[in-house]
Amino acid sequence: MTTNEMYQAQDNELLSIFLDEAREQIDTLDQGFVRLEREPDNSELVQGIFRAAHTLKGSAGAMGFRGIADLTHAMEDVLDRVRNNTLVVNAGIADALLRGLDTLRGLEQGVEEGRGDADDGTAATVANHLRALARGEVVTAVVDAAPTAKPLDALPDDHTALLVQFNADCQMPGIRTFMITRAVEKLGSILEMQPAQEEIDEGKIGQRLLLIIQTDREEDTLRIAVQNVPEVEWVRLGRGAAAAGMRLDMPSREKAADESLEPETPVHAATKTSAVQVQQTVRVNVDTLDRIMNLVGELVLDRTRVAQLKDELSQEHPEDEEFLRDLDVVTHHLGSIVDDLHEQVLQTRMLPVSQLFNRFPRLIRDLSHNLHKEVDFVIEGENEQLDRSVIEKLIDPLTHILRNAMDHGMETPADRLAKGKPQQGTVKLLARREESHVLIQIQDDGPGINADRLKEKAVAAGLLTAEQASAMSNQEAYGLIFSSGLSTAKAVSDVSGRGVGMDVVKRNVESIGGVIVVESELEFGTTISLKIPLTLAILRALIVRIGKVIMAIPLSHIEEALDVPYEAIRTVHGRGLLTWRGTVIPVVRLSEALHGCGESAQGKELHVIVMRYERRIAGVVVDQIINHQEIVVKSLGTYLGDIPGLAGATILGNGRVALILDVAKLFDGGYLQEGAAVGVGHAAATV
Amino acid sequence: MESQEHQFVTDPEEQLVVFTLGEESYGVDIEVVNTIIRLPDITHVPQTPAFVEGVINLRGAIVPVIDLRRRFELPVTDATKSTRVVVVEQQGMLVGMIVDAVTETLRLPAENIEPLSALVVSIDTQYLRGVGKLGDRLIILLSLDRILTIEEQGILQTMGAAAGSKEAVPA
Repeated sequence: MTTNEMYQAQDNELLSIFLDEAREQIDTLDQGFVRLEREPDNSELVQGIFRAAHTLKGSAGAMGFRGIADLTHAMEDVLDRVRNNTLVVNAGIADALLRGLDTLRGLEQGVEEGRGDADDGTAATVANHLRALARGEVVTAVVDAAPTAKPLDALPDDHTALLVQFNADCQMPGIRTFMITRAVEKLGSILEMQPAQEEIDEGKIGQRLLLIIQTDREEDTLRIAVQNVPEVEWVRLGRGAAAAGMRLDMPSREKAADESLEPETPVHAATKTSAVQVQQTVRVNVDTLDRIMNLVGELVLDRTRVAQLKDELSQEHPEDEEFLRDLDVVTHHLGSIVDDLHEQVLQTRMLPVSQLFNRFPRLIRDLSHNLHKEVDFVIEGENEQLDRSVIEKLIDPLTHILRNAMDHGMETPADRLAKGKPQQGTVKLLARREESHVLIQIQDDGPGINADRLKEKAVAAGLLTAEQASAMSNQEAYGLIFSSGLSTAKAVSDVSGRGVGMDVVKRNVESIGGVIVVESELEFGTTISLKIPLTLAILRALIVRIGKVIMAIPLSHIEEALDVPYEAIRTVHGRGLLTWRGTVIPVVRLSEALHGCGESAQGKELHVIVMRYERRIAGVVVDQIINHQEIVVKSLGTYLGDIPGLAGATILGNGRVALILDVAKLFDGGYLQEGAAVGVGHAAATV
Repeated sequence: MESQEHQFVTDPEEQLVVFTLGEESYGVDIEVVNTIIRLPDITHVPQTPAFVEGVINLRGAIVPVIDLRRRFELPVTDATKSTRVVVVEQQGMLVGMIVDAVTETLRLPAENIEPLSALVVSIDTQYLRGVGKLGDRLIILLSLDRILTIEEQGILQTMGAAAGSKEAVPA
């Protein structure tokens, strides 16, 4: 690597750190502004927001992104007035701040995409507006401009950078600085100091001090020398190349990193070496994680394969006792290591659902303004964890559901009062861990879903016949909200009501193996529950044979596998029916529901697998139940494309390919309704 | 760039993998052949056209396999010791083709390749791009992108549900 390349790499690293932090601060501001509007007197909140804006301004300035820095500065001006109680937050101010934030996001996006933070004039206008607001009353309190902070480049090996943070209530940073310089001078020579001595003499010193010294002393010696000075909260060292990126106003890691890690050495606990601090977190490319996950998936399969081979071997050569015993030990050990590895890799991909939920307070806030509704938005369980890929796939569905909850699921304040409900409605978004699933619920206390009206609409839209509608339970009718082309909103609005969206919601949720259930009670509200698997990559499945087809049925959908005599299944109007645990359920031969499975066995006993999908239960008849195992879901590839009834394929322990049954399609695709009964007729062709 | 298989031949020479179906010899450009394997365990896939034999596990990847005899509507025969799967790569996807036997690879000078018009072959000419003459032998050159066209893929997605054509075919 040439020196230039090295600098380039460091710049990229710095840029990506900046972007990470900027996004985090923008998110903090976003949530903060929305809360601020409701809690204008919460001084702690104002402080927090101000700090985030201030940090963002500083780091953007240090990176040379003037556009971001200027705009943030203007926001900071307003916040400073709020902080000093000379400006009261009203909707106008919150709007201006949020608009500033949106513009800021745009600029940040530009930087992310390599376009820099060039402004088309919007940012300047928004900033001017903010400044005008800040000037609106009394005198403008000029924020003492922080001394310019330039990030350090890599230093020579015998140079060390020292970043010192004084206690928040440190009264005499100037004196402490003097003490620190004296202590350090005994150990080496000071080459540079930020702020400079002249600035310090003018009183221009905050709570930070950055020193570059030339020394051959141990880092710990330096650290202890500085920490012995009173009112020093922490010190961070960077020797040689490790100093790159350090700057006077770099954010304290305490907030950014996992709190339990304590990357900063607190005073009087100077036993850790700096190397340990550096190694505590490593940023890993998501693609790398995905590749590792795939490899571990393969390993899980191979483990099963090895165990099977061992069983075969012990049957064929039972005389090799000693060898088999050794093999047994190794196989077990391998198995437990692979399981551990699998778990750990899954863990690295987990993110708290707050990553998902935090974007919604803003959405609700904007919607309630646009729709003139008053809503208290409550979030619970945001610390539950989900696989990164699952979280990404939930953004759109949850956005849709919340839009719907605000639009259809919430009355106007006047309507609510007229009904005797509290003027302000409640929308709750919660997450809860349940076994291998996370339950995500969206609850509202709105008018509930009118099942009869929904049925009328469905009949009018030609989705149902009148007979089907009248035979339909309310619970089944709620499922109609997921049909495309059906909307019960009185008028088409730009929020929802075009009748598209909820069908997409259902598809998205099911594409990640989730289940979506609607419950509703008129005048009491609606609850939409999403049961989401923790991870997508690996699932447990029952392996069965139907004719020539080997198929895997996800265990999560299976209630029971049982053998019944042929006579136990009655045929009524071409539908096979079985009484199971006191209820009558439809039963089909899988070989007839899916075309081209080949000859299916016609024995006296039938293997029936009872499956549940949402609230519906049905049985399918298969020829043979092979075993159950963990499978890694793979695509059937672009050549075959999406095949109705199949959700993908997997490679079994014995190396054979098994197809994965698409349970959702089986239930929703019309396969179970008619004409597909045991021993009768033709499979339904509905797709 | 080497010759793209679907273009009419302009290269001075082509290197072909030659296989047989019945009495006739067929050639595909060696560039598109990923591997040639013995007939493995094939998992049958319902809801697909009859010529899709199923899917196989090729070094951990799931690869669809088509029966070229069924694809070309030739009489279907049982697999023999010489039956092979020629796995070709087309637009980044792997597809296996079941053939009676793979006989050789050979170089074919471009001037030996003739268009189809003057010839009589037993399969639909839309799957062919020409015929190579080598001494008294005729080698039919396949047009892979025709055999695996997008339209065919469209059929794959809809035919299974509509026709269920596989039951009619002896296993």
